[in-house]
Amino acid sequence: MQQPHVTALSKPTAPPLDLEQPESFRTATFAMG
Amino acid sequence: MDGVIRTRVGYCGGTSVSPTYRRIGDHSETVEVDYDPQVLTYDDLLASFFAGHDPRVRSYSTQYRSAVFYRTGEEAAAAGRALERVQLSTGLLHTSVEPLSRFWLAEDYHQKFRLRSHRDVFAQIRPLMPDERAFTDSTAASRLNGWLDGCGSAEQVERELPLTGLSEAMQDEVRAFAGRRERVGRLVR
Repeated sequence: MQQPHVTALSKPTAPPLDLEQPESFRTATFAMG
Repeated sequence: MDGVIRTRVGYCGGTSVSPTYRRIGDHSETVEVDYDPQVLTYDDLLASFFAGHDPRVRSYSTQYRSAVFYRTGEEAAAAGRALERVQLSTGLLHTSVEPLSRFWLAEDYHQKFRLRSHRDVFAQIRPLMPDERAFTDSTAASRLNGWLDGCGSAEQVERELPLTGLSEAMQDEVRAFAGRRERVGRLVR
């Protein structure tokens, strides 16, 4: 019997530094010349 | 800078719709900073803003002017106080304090520009993000972009570099560049 062809897709894995950031934050905007 | 979660570059302050680098219109090049108010205050950011550029000379173009875009009355008041305080010691500054209308995100190739120029580091971290917006909003990418440009303390680099998802070898490359910039900085100080 023919086996189904399976392709393993590599999923992106976020850096640990991104995962530990707070969900609540403020935003500031500047033009610096 | 501890407390900064991520940064984005874009265009702001003008009236034209959907500005780009080539068609910036009456907008200015700007940076947006997402920050943790438990770690960093708006006053801290204002101090860094005034220390990070020289607004004593009037800009020759709207594209490169000095401005604070506030979201609340409290931010407007804080910016006004900071501007007055700095002017007392440096003289007249050409910094505008004005309400934020809309921030237009710049093109992908402008985001994390320094990191993109280090192609081997970029090639390793970019696949960790599902798309360009995720890369733009990545704290790790923001940190690497700053460290490769000589920003951030050596202590922060040692503490957070292992959390960026880079291999040990690539971390060593980042350390080498961050250290090189720091040594150059000391010479001209």
